[in-house]
Amino acid sequence: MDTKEAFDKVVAIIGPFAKNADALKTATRETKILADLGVNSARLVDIILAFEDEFNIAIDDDTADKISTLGDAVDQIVALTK
Amino acid sequence: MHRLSVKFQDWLSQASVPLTFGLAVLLLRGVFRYRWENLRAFRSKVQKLLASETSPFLLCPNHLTMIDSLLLIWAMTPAWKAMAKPRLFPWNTPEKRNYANNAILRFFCYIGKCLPVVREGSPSRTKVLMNKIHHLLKRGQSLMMFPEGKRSHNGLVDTENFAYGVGKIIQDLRRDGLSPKVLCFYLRGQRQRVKSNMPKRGDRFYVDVELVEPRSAFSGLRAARDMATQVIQRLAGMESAYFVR
Repeated sequence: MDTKEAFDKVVAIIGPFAKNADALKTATRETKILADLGVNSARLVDIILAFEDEFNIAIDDDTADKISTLGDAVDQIVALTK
Repeated sequence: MHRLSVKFQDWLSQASVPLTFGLAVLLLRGVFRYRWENLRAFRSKVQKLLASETSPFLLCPNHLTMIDSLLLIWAMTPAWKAMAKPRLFPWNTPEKRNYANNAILRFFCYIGKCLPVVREGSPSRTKVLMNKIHHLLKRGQSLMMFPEGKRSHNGLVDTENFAYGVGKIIQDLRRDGLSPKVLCFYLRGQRQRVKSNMPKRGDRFYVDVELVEPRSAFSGLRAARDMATQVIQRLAGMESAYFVR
């Protein structure tokens, strides 16, 4: 899976959880999931589980802890789908 | 180092029970005139449940006011029993920003067995807190934690947007071969409609407790979510029972 495709899917998954819709429209790899998109930290688990379902991967706790920006999410997903 | 600091806090908190419990009861009963509907029956139920088990206990109440944990600790036990049985005086995890800028509050939270939580904090900070909690529960202490993660806006248990921390703690304890148990508490003042900082002065409280042992066929984060959901659903069930009384 290429990075662009993964990025688009990640944005689509996070969409329903993001309180800041404007930040989502202009999101880049550097966009912070919690601080910039206004995602509630408790919902981060739902997002990680949605990644697992969408990309058919397993994300352990340590990997989940590394995900802070959209770019982090994309990198971890691309690495796990290789 | 973290274990040593929590051990010292534990020792100081237990030694300060007459002061903390005395002041809390004076304030809640004397100044705010709070009363209970069913205190004796509730105390006997809680003490029977906590005394008959050696498992780690999580105490999970619904959340409507800023002093829910204080009210519940008062309801659970008199001071002399809390001195003899530390698990009757549970640890708490309040949001640090709610009290950290007031030195007096900070002092009382420290001797009141509070471990500060920083919402949206860094993973490393969360890990330190989780290690402390794990260590205390393994040693047979109890932890009070609001499974909703925040006070309910509409006054009812939030079965949609709740946190999964409770499930994660249970899962970590099970991984160590322990059998954690959860006591769900439903607490509500007669005049409490929606969330507030404090219950109304002179309010009379209903309180009930039920034992839950969440289990999950899943693993990882999915198991944590599943077990946290079981706790929330039990609280929602207790709430329904309260309203049909």
